[in-house]
Amino acid sequence: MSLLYFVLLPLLALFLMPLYRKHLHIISVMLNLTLLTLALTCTHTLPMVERVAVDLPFAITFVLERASWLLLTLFTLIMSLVSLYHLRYGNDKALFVASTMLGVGVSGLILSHDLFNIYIFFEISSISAYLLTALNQDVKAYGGAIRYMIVGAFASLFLLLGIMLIYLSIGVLDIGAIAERFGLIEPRLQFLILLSLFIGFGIKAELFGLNFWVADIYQASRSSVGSLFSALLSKSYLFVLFHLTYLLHVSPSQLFFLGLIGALTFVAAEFSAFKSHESKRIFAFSTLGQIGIITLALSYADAMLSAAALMLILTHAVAKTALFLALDLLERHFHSSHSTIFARFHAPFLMGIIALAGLSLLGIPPFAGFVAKLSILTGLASLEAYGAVALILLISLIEAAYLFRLLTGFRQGTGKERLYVAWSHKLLLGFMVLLLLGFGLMPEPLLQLCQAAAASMLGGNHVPL
Amino acid sequence: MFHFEATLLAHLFFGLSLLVILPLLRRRDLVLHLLLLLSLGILFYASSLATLFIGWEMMGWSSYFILASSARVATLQRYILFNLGGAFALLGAIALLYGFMGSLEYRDIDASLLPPWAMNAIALLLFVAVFVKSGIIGLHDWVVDSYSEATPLFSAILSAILSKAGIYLFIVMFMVLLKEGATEPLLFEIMAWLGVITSIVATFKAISQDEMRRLLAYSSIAQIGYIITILALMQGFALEAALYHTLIHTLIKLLLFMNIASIIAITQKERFSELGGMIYHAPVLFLLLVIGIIALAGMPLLGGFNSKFLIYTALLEEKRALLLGAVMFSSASAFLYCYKLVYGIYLGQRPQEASLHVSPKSYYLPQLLSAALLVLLALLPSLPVGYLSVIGVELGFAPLDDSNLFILQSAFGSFHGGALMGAFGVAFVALLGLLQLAHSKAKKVKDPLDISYCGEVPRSETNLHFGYGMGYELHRISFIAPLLRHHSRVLWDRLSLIASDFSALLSSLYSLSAQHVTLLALLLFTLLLLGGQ
Repeated sequence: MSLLYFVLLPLLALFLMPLYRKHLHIISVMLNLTLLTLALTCTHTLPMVERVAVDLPFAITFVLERASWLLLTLFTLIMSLVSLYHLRYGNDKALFVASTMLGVGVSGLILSHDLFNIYIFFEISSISAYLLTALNQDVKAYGGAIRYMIVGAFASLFLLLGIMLIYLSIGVLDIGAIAERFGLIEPRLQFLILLSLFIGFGIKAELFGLNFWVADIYQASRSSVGSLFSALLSKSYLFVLFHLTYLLHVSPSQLFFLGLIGALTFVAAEFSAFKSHESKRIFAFSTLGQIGIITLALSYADAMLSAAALMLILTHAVAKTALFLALDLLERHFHSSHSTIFARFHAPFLMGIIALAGLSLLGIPPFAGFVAKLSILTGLASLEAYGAVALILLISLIEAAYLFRLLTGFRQGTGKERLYVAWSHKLLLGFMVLLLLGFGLMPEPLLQLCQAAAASMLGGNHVPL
Repeated sequence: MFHFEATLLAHLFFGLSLLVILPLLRRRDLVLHLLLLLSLGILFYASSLATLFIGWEMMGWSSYFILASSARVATLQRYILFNLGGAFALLGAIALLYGFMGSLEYRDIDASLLPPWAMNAIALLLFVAVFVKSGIIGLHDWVVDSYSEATPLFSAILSAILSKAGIYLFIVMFMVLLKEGATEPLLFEIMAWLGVITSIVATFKAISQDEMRRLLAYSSIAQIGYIITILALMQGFALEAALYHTLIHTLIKLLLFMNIASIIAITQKERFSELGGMIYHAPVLFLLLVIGIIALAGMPLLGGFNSKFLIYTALLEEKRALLLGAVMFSSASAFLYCYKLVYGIYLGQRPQEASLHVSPKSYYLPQLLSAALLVLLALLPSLPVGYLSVIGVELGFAPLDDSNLFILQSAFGSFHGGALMGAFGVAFVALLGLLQLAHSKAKKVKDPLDISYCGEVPRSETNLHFGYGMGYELHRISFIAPLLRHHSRVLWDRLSLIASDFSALLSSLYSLSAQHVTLLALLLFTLLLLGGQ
């Protein structure tokens, strides 16, 4: 089993497109399910290292350890679910190309063990994200894509600056080697490098101060694309950011700064969502809010909190995918995603799915989101970070206010339109909510996986080559 | 070590919830009601704080979705925000406890290890959770609207069952898990006074209401105020009184809310000003309501007296004369709204345009059962004492005397239920007989509007029914008027406005153009570079 499959198989599928151009939706499902199966089969062979010998420093090095495995499995799962969702809507060439490329990009990002490849996959995922934004091919979509491209290019610029400075200073790009020699760099240059990497990844990971573009992009994109952005894209950048943060042994004050940015991201996003009445925008802000909490938790570089943050990444990804896909169904029907559409239809199953996924998102029991939130709060309390506990609890009330306002629509209004939801979609959405409920009632297996992943992430898991 | 969950409260709540659910069986909300029941089960049978919290939150959101079918958006927002605010305070307390104990299991919690500051912080957070659920004044904003906008049946569940969750939480946390903790006694003192102030304010607010369910909602707040006051004493005898009153209040509110649900089903009206004279149409309902209000007023004759007796004697035993005076004042004032309830609905003038329907028979069952239990408890006042004693002993208090079911013992005396009921019954019948004799020549007035000697000539549409106007005069009493005028809602609305403004300010940042976003990123980079160096 080779780690290269996660990049090569999708690329192969893209190259062979002319052979099956009328069945792209089926190929997409098959490809993603294959990748999911491959990811699952890797469980017993971790950690895995794969290196394609090109001249150093530009060798392609992939490493799969507990943390990246967890995310890879999540990403392939979400990609499979999203492609299964689109199965019913037939062939869509642009969607196939963009989403497959996004899969390559995010998988490559978390597998890569050298900055050169990280940059390449950073660009691949960015370009596919621009394409995904423009899928609707209307003024709003093109406007959004161009905005995204400008901001994305800016992020790439800083990332490239950071990488260039590292290579010029120590002459290596492998993360393990950088971790060993980073201390040799002059402190002021070290700081500049870290800052450049922070700005580069911070823009893409949607952190406060660098994330003012996010809501517009989500609003301009299709709802189903929102699920990919929310569950995959931002999480992969965040993962790489913290992976590097832990490996480069940044100072406690720099970790504190990251925590502060996380807290600000959380507060600003939740407050912004409070005033919004556009559901895609609301979900985008809610994603930002969760990213804020995850960043805050990861900034403590503590095993328990990092495990809790990983758990939140998983539960949030599943809940948000369910919500965005449900919203996509509504958007296709009403040609709008304004929050008033929630009061205009009657479809008990879909309403139940949205309500339950929303509850998980809010961290309300008995769903998996609660386990993640409780772990974060207890983790913070054991580190005596009571201020952070209070902040999360207080601002969660704002989150509750706007999410429940959205859900209230279900029980309000008269003369509702009966909405038909296909069985395949019911099964898919039902599966996601069952996952959330199942892991909420029996969180132990998932918690153990997250703990192992956190230990691997924090343990300076660079593999000597 | 802890079998409290297997005793009275759990059984009581389950039994009664099922009873109220019975008439609902064919409704589409059934699943949500069953979820609500499940959440209560989880709450009572929890053996860890995490499970307790799961029950608590499930109770919150399942009741929210039930409420959502009838309530206004603003009411729903208040309901969920207050309830989640309380729940998050509980979660904060749980997280804080975990920080010191490293476990969420009940058996691992040893409050004696907590430093005083942590114990007090946990106590304050738990107070918020308990007070929000109990509708303590200032945090009661969600209670009245949600009770009056819920479906009539769900109002009964809200008042009879869900309002007791705060009491359960207090007992579990303070009398079981954190018993050894060094909580500042002043906090309990404040709690006792908040309870009694709540009951006084809510009693007067109840009297001035025109809507039946709003009156009962304030009455619930007032009754739970007593329970909070008595629990704050943290004594075995007070616990018995509080639990006894919880039981009685559950029965009374189930009876009264179901009674009003029947009236609403019959008349489709909610206000006293639109009702009256229902005794002619529904005499059985009238009798049931009379049983309910006699118990609510805490008069000897029915079970309501038992718990009031225990509350008064518990306060006497603790030598809390001021608190006792305040509780008695509130309790005596409650007669007024009891009177309004019976007069406003059943007596007086009957609206002319009224078209009446038939009340569902299933609504009678909970009422009859509650009424029967209230009568039974009057006869055998010590019947629940055995259960209460088990709870008290498990919580480390001395066992109570329940050797004679007819006699209710307290430190300051005892009474024989049957004898008291008999004496009051005889006195009541004698008084009624005397009145009947004195007014035997009374004649029925042919025209109820023939009162022109008052100096006012009423028209046919003039509502002469006294019941609904009752309570307006309170606005003229100098020390009561401010209580009725001032609403804590102003404070919460202001807070909401501030949050909304802040939100508008922040969300404008998220509409910046790409150029501005990149410019800001560059600015951040520069600032950090300069600051960091």
